[in-house]
Amino acid sequence: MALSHLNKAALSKASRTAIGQRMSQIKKNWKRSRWLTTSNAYRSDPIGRIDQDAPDNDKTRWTPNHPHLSEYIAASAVVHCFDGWSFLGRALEAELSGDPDAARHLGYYAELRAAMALLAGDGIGVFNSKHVIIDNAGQGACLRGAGTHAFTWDALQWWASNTAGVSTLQDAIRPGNLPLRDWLTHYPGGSSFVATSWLKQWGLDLSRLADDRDARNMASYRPTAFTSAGPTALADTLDVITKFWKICEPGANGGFPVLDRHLLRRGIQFVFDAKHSSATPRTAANYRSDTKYRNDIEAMLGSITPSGLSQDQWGRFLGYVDDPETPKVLVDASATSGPTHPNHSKQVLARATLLLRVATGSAANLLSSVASASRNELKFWWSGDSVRRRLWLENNPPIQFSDLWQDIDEASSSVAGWLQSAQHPCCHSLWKEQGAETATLATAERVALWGLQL
Amino acid sequence: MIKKKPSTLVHALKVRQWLSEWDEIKWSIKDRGAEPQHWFYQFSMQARDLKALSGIYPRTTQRQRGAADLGIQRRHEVARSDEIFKFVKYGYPWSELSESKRKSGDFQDLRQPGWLPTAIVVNILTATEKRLGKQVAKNELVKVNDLQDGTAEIHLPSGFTGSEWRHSSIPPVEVIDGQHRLWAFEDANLSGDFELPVVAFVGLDLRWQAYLFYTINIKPKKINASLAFDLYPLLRTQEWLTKFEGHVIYRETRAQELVDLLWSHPDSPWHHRINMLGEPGHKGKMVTQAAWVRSLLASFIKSWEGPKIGGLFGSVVGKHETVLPWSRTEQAAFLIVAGQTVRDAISNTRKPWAKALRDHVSPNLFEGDDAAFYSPHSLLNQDQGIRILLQVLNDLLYVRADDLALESWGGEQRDSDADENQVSKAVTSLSKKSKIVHYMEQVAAGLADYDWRSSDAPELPAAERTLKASFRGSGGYKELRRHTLKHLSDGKGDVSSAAKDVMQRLGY
Repeated sequence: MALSHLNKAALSKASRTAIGQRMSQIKKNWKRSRWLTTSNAYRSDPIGRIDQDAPDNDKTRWTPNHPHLSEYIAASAVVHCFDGWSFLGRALEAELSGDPDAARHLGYYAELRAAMALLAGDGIGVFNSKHVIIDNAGQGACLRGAGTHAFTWDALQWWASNTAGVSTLQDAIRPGNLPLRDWLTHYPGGSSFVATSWLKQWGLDLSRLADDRDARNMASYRPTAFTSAGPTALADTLDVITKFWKICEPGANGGFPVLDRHLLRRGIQFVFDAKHSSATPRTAANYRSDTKYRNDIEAMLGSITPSGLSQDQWGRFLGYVDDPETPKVLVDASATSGPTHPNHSKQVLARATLLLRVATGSAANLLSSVASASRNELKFWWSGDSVRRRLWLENNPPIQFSDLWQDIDEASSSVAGWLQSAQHPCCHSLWKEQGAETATLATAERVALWGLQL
Repeated sequence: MIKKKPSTLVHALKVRQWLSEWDEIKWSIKDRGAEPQHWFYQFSMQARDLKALSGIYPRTTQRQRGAADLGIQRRHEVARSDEIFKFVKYGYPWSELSESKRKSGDFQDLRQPGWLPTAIVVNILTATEKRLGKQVAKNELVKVNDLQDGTAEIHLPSGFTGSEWRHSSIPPVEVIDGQHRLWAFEDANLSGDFELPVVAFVGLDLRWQAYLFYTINIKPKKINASLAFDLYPLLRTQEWLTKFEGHVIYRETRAQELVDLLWSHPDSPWHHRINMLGEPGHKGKMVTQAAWVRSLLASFIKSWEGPKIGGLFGSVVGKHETVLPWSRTEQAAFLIVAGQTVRDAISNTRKPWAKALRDHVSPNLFEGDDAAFYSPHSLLNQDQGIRILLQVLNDLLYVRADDLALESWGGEQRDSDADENQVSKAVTSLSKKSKIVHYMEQVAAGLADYDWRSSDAPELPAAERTLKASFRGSGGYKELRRHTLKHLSDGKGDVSSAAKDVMQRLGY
């Protein structure tokens, strides 16, 4: 169900600035170890409360508690994000257990939460059939639309094609610790950035997300034995998951340095191809040898100073000399297999990863707009059981969240070593002989912590 | 209130700049490159007055074309002037904060003065100069009268009334560089005094105006942030910079550069032994660049850990709380010398742990490598070990910074492009600082006694294996660090007391 003109007009009033301002007020709640005030009217049953606020279809009877509503939506931009990574972790666990159908189901919810986080950060609260936008004055307005899922995908497509979404996207992705917009300012043709095209180039065709919902329905409601292709070979699954982790490796201050530089290169390739059309698709070798391509890269690097790699390394990377292969997550995300295809669940997980990355960048920027030292202020949240879970011993948190990478690095090595020497590698022997390591590889929620750059 | 008419007399300094070599330049009136005066003038003026004299008027619907930029065709970028205005009013970095950050109230301490100390460069038109066929009206010329004492009097037009004054033909002054600074004051309602420094040429031909603009704005290579922190080490510890830019602007960039140098320099113990692109298949042979960067940020380049221990390259040091003015190459040299002492101490040790590693042949070693230092089963070749090695070295040197007179070394090199020779010179220079090197050797000797085998080392006794397993994972960093410091504190001499000091500061 496409968005009505009325709803599009309403969405255009949604304000990220208002959410940022509300986030700085939420900081007072952090001192009291909570996200929302105890009296927040939407805390326990937001859908019921919104129904009360907006009975029938009479707009004149919309009586929300504006501060509470904007507080809820602002806080949800971060918490939805963590929940999304958590769902992704459970999806990884399902894959590692040989259950791609459950992985597909959970992976879809990872996508959904990522989208809800992204929209919330820009002032769009997704609820049931009555959704809320927060305008520049911090006031909530109700819009009636499709249910949660359909509205989310429609709103997300709308978001990506509007100035607000473009701006959020360009700030969320930070190759070399510079926002994407800074790179584009100095790349010839970079100003022609179109969010939907870039997302598609990265493998995230937003129109596919509604298809993923249909695929989830099959896994959630239909007997899987009738249609499921079953798990792929364990080695394939482990390969995908190992590569997932490599792409999510944090920098010294967290973030997604590896993934972001691949997204940057892919995007630049897209801009270049648009300017210099070619009869056949270009390969990495083509870009490597193309003088115009190399000159454009050099001109861009001459004007900015990204971190993470030396200038020379940046040149070599963007020029397809170093690490020229497209990461598996980008390949899988752009695949269009149907739900009965054996690789479909992994493709859902890939799309979830990319959407979560963007959502996490958006949430990180919102948090940094409050104060630069959010880690201490948010300790009540990340040190609590519901976030800490099995990531670290109580009272022994990592000094920096990027240290949580060490667990993944060791687990990946251990499992890789096991796979090389295992006599009969299968899910059973994996969990029996490498149970702790496998369980570690399924803790994607740690990515939220270093991704938020707390 | 009656507005006071501004004075039409401005006092200026006459600045002579001319070399005999310049006499060989091909001056050409025909090409608008006539020989200029061998001097220019310096003075200060209220921004609003300079705007009026140079024809930079407030925007009105009647105005046909921006300022009367009749000499050099230039655009006015509104966003740039707005940025300058915000900078003047609020200083940096407040002027660049997002609206929500500014409104939050959390960043008030980032408001700082918005000085504009660099001069606006202008040309004072003479009576005969023409722009698009027009000349300055006779009674609107700005005249310069040189005085005997090397100063000058700048006489503004007698009818000049300040910001409301308008020329009748063409403006008597044209702006060569700084128009955006002047535009920034267009609608400004700023209280207080804000004079701008001005450099004024008289009758400077158009070719030289364009040339000046280029050499001021485009030719100079913008100083890179890393070099800035070497030229002005105090910047490393400025809280306002850290609060705004976070780790990135100095710490991460510097960590990256140091890892590069540790990998590339032939004297470095880690020469070509760092996995620079995180390529798979190197696990066990080399620690990744990313892990090295994280470890340097957690050690030498940290700001503070707790209230009492800082990074030698990232915080104030010693009782006088000064920043060690070591450049990037000197910092790399320091790490190389420290690493060499540890590697050499380990290669000289005959402790059972070292022997056990040497007895096990590893195919991953380079020829001549000591397995005790480079084996895949040595923590010193793993993320954990590198982290703790760097932390222990930093912390033990930090608490002895005054005794070792660390500030007496270095601070001499000012290289913009670090190269092998610069690092080598610094290594040689540091090696002559016997007190520092002797202390490093003592620390290294203590570290060489420590069992650096990892939990997967072959033939490790069960009890040791259990202990080493506790050093694995993200929780292992703290455990290994505590264990290593305890080992050093159980030794003798100054290293032991330094280790105890460190443990106390860390709350261990």
